[in-house]
Amino acid sequence: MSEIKPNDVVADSAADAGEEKDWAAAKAFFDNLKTKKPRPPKPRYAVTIAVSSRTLFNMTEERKMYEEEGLETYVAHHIAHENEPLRPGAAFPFVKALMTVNDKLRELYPDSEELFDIVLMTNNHAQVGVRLINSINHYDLTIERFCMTGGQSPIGYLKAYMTNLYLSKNSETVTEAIEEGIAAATMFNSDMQNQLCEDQLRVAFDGDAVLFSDESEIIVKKHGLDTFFEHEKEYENKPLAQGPLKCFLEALGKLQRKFYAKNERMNCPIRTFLVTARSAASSGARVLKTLRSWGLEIDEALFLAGAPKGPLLQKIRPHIFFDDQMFHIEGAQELGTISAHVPYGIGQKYHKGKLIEKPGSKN
Amino acid sequence: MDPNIITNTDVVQLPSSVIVIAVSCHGIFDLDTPTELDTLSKGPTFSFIKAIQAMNEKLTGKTPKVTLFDVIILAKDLQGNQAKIENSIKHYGLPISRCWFFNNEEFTQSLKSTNAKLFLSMDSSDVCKALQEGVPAALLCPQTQTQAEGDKVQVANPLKVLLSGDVMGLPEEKLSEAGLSQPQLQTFKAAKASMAEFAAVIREMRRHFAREDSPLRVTLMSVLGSSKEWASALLTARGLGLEVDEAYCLAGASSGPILNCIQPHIMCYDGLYSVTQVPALS
Repeated sequence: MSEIKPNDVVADSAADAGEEKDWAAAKAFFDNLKTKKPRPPKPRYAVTIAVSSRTLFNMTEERKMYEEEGLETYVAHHIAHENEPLRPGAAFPFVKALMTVNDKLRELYPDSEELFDIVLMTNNHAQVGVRLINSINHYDLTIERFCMTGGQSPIGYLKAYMTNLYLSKNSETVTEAIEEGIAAATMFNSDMQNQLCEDQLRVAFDGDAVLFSDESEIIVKKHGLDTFFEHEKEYENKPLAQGPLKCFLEALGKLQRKFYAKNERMNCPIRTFLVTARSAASSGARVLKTLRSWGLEIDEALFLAGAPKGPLLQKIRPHIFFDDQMFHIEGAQELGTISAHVPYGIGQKYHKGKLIEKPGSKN
Repeated sequence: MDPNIITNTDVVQLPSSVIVIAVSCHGIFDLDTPTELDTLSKGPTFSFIKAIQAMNEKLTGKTPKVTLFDVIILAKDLQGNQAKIENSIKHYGLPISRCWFFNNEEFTQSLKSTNAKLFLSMDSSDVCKALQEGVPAALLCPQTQTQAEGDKVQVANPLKVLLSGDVMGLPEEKLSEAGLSQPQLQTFKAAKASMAEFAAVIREMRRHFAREDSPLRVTLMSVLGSSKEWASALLTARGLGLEVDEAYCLAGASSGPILNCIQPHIMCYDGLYSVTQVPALS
């Protein structure tokens, strides 16, 4: 069993046996068909990325219609425009990059189930499904698994699909997912976008309250920077606790090692970045040592010592950048970086260092 | 009057033009635990009857004595329990007009003489037999949530019907190509043949309600088929005039955990995959 899957995977053998039987039947069914399309991977071994319909496609106008004119008009509109493909959304470049990595993985390991598996996870109504599939086919995206809950919360389904990362526009659902132990982030549409790399998936992470817990963040907010520096120096050798996206980094690392094993380190199509406001000298060591203690590697670590993240991210050009603070998200977006907010930890109660009256900002 | 057909005098007997839904007694009541009482306790599919009742209530706004569908119970090999079953139906105030008692050998014959447009049972072999005889049939899924408290009809969770995206979307040629066994192919064909009639019954129920807050939800799940066939199934459903609320395409992923989330009351049986009964939902 792959350890990159979320912890609450079914433990009883009866369910496992059922799952094996189902998979054997599905595999036999697929193998007997004469088709060139690659078979979707076994969920247990795959890195499952669940994207919502509004992150994959830009559905701002339709959303407005739903809010102003109601469900019936909204669905009727989609049915009437079923053959018109939707425009790409915030997660679209990320999904395309995942597909590129899959192609390369399949070349090197033709029989492996350790691939990215992209699932469309949406609480959209099933009637919209036809337009979504038409759009997906239009852009030639490899999305085989769909989950349209018709208005209900997708949280239970995220677990059922063994999701490693969930991207959505709805910050409440994302918060709920994080509370359930699933790595998740809220995406935003941006007007401008930088030109992105086509043959390498680039993922940037903030450190505190994203990869790591918010324990150090709490110290800064409550006791100030000086206390924070002293604390980090003193506890340099004590690993930080995990944050909500640690498992996703781990999953990426596992796939990266498959490339290293085939001598492809220099050409590895996955590259990870740490972009943190910490300063290297005073608080950087603890971060690097924590990663090492977890057996995780990160390709590039950028310690900004409080400098704005936007310009640096503009140079890095990640397909996605995860941060817990809206202030950084906004700064990144202004300069064209696709950003995803991780609504976790004490950072949600503050804006630009000041305590906000209402906890948890909504987008 | 056939002594094996018990009529429920608490419920208005409907004209034969009304759609008959035949439900297997096994599961509605707990027939396994021996009891000294006159009435039986609720079984795992009891909440289904209550959900139908809630649906009728919402529709007509009248008391449970007036029903839109003629719901009858089929009790196989339960002649000894006639009195208890009769009492239990009245005790819980269930909207059941008649109860048919028969032996296993008489099953298909009895089913046909009821003129049922839909047969529901927890037993997949009975569902299979019904399909072979051309009677639209589906599995009733055991529910662990206790729905109605006492005898009051609560605003229960909506009645969920799960359609098979594989039956609706996969062409038969593809299945033969995929190397399925003869019995599986036969069940699949039978399910496909009765799909239009099955859809007609569900459509008749569903059309009275709007998309939001409906007491009946139609779900489509595709296990083996690809997304292309799933889309085809959605269009087929639409062509049959059926409003699908939720849709899932598994493309080979295990159906158990997903079924656990969906929690259907009624599930289309297509004989394709190993889950013939929804596991007791946690």
